[in-house]
Amino acid sequence: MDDTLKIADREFSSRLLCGSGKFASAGVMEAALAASGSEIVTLALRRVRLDEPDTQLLDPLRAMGVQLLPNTSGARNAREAIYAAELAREALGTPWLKLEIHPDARYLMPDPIETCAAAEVLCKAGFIVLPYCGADPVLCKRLEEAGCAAVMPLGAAIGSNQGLTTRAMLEIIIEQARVPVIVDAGIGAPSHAAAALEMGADAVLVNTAIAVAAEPVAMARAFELAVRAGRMAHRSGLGAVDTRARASSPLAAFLETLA
Amino acid sequence: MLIRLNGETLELDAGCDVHTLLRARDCLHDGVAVAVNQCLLARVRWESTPLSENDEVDVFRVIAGG
Repeated sequence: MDDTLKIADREFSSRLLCGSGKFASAGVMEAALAASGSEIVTLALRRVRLDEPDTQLLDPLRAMGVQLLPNTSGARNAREAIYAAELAREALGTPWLKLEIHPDARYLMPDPIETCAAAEVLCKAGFIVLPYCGADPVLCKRLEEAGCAAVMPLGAAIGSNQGLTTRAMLEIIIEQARVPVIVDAGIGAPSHAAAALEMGADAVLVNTAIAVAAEPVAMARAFELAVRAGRMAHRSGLGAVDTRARASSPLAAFLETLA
Repeated sequence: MLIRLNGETLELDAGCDVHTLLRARDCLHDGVAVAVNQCLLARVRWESTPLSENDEVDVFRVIAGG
């Protein structure tokens, strides 16, 4: 069954994007990413202390052949995000970019005005922009019109593990989108990921739920299975929801024989 | 001459270029980007860019993130 995820000019067989943050070690990260089957992995960029040893993060990711997706986390406005994007493209040699601008450290809610402004500039500058954004159908259309290669509406606050708290808005976004919809942030359990794919989301991005699990490698595998199950269910045609019971077994021609 | 590297003041020989500075600080590997005075400096220009008094050099490195 040909069912690839197409983003910009690339096709992927996995619909699970993973973050590389919060893992206990680079070794655990590498094993978990391998178990996840993910083909797109996010990274961040920081001005770091030069006397700190390099985390040796990139070598295993390059060896795995995944699409690196640097983010602009830490940027508080469009100007900072554009600067971060240019640095990321230079550091990694890829125009792929997860655009994220969240000026508020408490809830890490993405700033829609600054995100749209940065997206317009970055798309024109040749970046392949995947913006992290609120689950706002109008905003997602505006980001699509700006030239974004996908939209990444949030399910819940970053790292909160609350699941699809924005479900009703996600349904509208999915219905309207002409670019892939990748539900990002807040997905805390494989069942949340499966639910997103069942709804018709094209993919999900998961980081915290895998990285902080007691067994990250097994959890990564659980997410991989859930995403595949959710996608298969979506393509198979889910039954209609009904408020009344509809019998699955014939109700007649059995008990009548007792009379 | 004095420059600032990631916020730290350093004394360098006059005319020291960006590549020489980064090599001395073991920063020539994959996943590094450099800005001089808040402007991105492409890797291909590191060797041909001499630093000047009071330049601010910022070295960015890829780290884990979501």
